[in-house]
Amino acid sequence: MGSGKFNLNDALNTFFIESREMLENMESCLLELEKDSTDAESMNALFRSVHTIKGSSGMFGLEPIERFTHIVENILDDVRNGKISVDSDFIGLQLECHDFMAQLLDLFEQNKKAVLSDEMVQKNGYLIERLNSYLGGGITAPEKEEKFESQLEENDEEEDQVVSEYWHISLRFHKDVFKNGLDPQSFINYLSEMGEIKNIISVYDEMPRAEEMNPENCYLGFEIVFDGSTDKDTLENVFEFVIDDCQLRIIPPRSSIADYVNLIDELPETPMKIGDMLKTVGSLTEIELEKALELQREMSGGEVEADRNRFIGEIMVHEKMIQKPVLDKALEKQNDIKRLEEKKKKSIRIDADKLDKLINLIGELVITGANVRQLSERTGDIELNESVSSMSRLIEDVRDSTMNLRMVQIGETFKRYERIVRDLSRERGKEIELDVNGGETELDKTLIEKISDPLMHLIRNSIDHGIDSPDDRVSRGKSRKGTIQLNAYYETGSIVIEVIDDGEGLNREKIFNKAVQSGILQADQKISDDDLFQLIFQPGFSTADQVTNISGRGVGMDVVKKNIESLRGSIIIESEKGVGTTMRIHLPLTLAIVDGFMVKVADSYYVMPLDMVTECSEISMEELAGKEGGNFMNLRGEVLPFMRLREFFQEDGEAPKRENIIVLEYARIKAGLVVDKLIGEFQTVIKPLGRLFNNLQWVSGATILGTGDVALILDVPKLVQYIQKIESATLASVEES
Amino acid sequence: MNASVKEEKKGSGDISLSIKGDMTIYTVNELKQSILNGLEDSTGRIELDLAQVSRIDTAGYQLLLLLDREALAENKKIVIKKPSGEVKRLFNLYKYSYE
Repeated sequence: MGSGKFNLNDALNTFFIESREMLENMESCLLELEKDSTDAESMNALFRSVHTIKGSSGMFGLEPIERFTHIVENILDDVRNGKISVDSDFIGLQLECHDFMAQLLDLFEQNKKAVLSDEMVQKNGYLIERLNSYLGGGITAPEKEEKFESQLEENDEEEDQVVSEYWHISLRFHKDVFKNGLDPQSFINYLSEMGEIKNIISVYDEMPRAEEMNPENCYLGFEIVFDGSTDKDTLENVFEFVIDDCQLRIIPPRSSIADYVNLIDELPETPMKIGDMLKTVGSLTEIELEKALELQREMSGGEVEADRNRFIGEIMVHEKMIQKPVLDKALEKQNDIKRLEEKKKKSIRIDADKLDKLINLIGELVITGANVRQLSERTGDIELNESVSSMSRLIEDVRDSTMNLRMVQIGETFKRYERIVRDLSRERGKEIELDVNGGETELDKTLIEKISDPLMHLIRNSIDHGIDSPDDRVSRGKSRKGTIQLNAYYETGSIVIEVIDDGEGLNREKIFNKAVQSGILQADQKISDDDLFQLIFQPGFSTADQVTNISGRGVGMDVVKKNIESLRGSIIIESEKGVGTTMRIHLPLTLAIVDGFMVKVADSYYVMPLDMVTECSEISMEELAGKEGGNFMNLRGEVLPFMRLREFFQEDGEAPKRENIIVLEYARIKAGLVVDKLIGEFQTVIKPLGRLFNNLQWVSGATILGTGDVALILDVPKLVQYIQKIESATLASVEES
Repeated sequence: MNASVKEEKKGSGDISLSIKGDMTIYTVNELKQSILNGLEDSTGRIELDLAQVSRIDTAGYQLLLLLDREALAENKKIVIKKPSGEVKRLFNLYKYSYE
């Protein structure tokens, strides 16, 4: 007993994870349908999602979820059959249902035996009532007529059809079904919720005599007559979990007698016995049964009247042939869908902890590999060096593929905002379209998780304050519908995410006045747009109706900025009055492991992420010196601010005759760093410095070299911004004087 | 998860079997023997009292079908008495008539 025991808790967890995915699916399908209500693919995907949630919640006995989703599913089925037309109200209702289902899932995830709160019960009732209003009423009447007509047509086409308007489902369970922990009654139960079981006969002819009968084996079968407006796929799905443990045959309503003949042929019991059952259960009438049995006898009988038999046999085959092309097409389509789904499912779930552990180990491997490399280079042994360098290459590959495991496309996150844009723009009486680009851009999973809230806030902000009302837009000569663009792409050493709206743009004067009022700026102070707009990220800074009145939504713009900075990212605002606003977030690509570039100043080693280094060259003292107090150089006609790392970190000793300059770029800002010596590329793992150094600026971590020395990893984004800032200040003063 | 069968002679070859507890895959093995014993002991009617069956699954249902068939083969009669709510629910699902 209990040989088929499986861990229910694990299964339940998977259920919640998968159901959430299904819900996400549901939401995006609904939003697709709102744009194009004829999109059959979305419609089917939507139905499947809801159907899956219903099915599996039933399996786990989560009744409230099952009951609710059942109703939603019914409605969607009607939509699929064209009985209900999709309009924006309907989508709205479905979205509410989606939210409620999410709520239910949350509730039962915490406690499988949870009871709905009064509020939820009320919501449940309210939604069901609204759903039912779609089901009832005048919709059913024309549908019946239609059914009648189609029935007539079909009758014209095929004479051998049976009268029964119901499905016939024939089930034979395998012996081990009980031992595998399955109970047929759950499937029958499930079936009974999809329609009405008109009749059901238990078949136990295969059960051996009492002495040999093992009660833990299953010898049962069922012949079922089922009434429900559904399709074969859906019915097959009912038995999805037990499909390997049973033989399932489904005959659709008004099938030809030949189908029943096949069934009689295939079932283990004698034709007479099956015939009897089919008659008793009500799928065949007496006359139909006789006809079927006769056909069956003729087909399998053989010896006598061989010629005639073959003739009839050929007719049967021929009949099947007629249906074949149609069948083939249907099968092909089904296979296409299946293949698509398989492709989607070609992934496995891994516990994030396991992945993190692997990544940590790879990190250690990278450090050790770098050590080995340095040590082997010191020996000068050529063969050893060669082996070591091919090993390093492999380690690099391993590292890259491991890091890739954590990379997730940002598109999924972007998709979620569609809902917010939809709901919020309605609430505000605005017409807004969300235009998503670069959804395939990949980001580290943790990064995505942390950026999604700030992004959401920026989008809300754009809806609230960026896009103007339709009437205002028209009076300004714009289209009624505003657009919010969401872009993601790679740029040197960083990932850029933009939120662009084509709204009013920031009001420069208003911000300036407010800043003066609150004493941040002097009334006669000159300030660049860039710096001025950064003020809206100040805590408590608000120009009331204009900039930040994100009503009670938790995070303000200051929190957005802080969050982004905590990821070592930055945000800038570009805005033009009447044209729109662009919020551009730069996030570093770098994760725990980086390809670094190592330099030396005095006796200290410094590493900077290689992808932020654009070039480096030797440079003479003359080129660096004597620029009227400012640190600038001419880089192919561009002004490049630079900084001496030696001075900056206050290293002792003399600078060498010929120094080197490294040009760094981050967030479209370039800056130079002057160092003593270039060491070269270096693969490394960022080790956090520990709490003691929490307040240390300019350094984002440290790493251990093969020699045992410690190299500091420079915080390039901060450095670049710092250099730019102090140097542009001196530049301004130089220009003024 | 246990089950017991209580057998009572009722005179003129009739007996009564009261099943108490679960009729599930976990208990069908032991139940089978007791029930078949009861069948053997009787020469006429077998009253099956299912009032105290707390749970029943398809394996338990199958056991009842077995009893049904064996009784029929031996020309004996099974009468189901007072099925509990759980049992009733299953009978209804399988449209098994017991009255």
